[in-house]
Amino acid sequence: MEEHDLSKEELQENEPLATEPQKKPNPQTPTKGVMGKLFCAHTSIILSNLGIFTCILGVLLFFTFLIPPLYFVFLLILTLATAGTIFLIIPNFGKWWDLFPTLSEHIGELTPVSFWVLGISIVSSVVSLILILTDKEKKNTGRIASCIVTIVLATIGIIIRALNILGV
Amino acid sequence: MKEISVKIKGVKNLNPILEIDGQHINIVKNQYGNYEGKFQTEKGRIDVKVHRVLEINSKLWFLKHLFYYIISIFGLLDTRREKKFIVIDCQFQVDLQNTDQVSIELFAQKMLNQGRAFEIVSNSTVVEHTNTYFVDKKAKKRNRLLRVFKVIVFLAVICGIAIGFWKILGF
Repeated sequence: MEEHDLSKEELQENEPLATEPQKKPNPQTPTKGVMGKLFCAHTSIILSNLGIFTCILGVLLFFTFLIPPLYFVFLLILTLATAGTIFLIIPNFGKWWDLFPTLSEHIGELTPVSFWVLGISIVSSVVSLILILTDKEKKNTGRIASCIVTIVLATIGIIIRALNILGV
Repeated sequence: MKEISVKIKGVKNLNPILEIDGQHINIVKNQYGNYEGKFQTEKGRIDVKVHRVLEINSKLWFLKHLFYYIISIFGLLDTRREKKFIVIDCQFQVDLQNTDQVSIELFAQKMLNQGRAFEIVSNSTVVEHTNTYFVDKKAKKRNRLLRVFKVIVFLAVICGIAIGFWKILGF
């Protein structure tokens, strides 16, 4: 205890004389730029999540052309498996078949949307990657890897879509 | 040149901020979830501050959270939210006159409502000024307000989508 007190005195000896009473610093007032860093870190995580989400959505939209044939196969299997009795079990089953052309038409409208969704994915992943790389405090290896994978996948998807539009 | 290494243990999800002589020091989380930072100085004495700031207490907090809410698709893609709102205020002075290599280790106490934040262990003399933690009631209040706002916006969006569908389908 004594040793602790002595060193306290030594410290006080070296301290310059206070000309005015010192204010107790508020723990809630951070140094300049800390709030900005917190904002960037939070935004980068959300954008990274958004990039992954839109990439998955874009890829799924890309394969929506498969839905009408799959729907057709589903109805066909139902009919064959029940040996036609499905028409008796579900009286409206005939209308399910009528939905097929409408479904094909609407699904066809959805496919071009994948172009824009993949675009959003690339933009958000690139912004997220920049923000993550500027953050030197955290090792975000996983986030960086997922952003790069997202950018690559979305770019490939956009190229394929563009080639599709151009008819190559 | 004297080298100071600071280790903060037991604050896995609290993201503390380390400042030495008013300068922000980068601290990195190691594989065990502890924070480590290094600093070099010629001085014979340093002021160390370990604290924690809550984003909800910043300027433009409402606009910031609104921005997060929108870009995260109504909170769907947002990160795990703050629940405890613990604020740390630990300030102490370290004497560097006798050693060139100074290590400071801060062991966090179990944080519930309020009390002593860290147990400070060092190979040099440490004089504590403040060493407390407490639950920020103002932040909790703001969080409650945000939650109410988010629920209202979410319901409004659902109603908007329902009305849109209603009109498109021509009911």
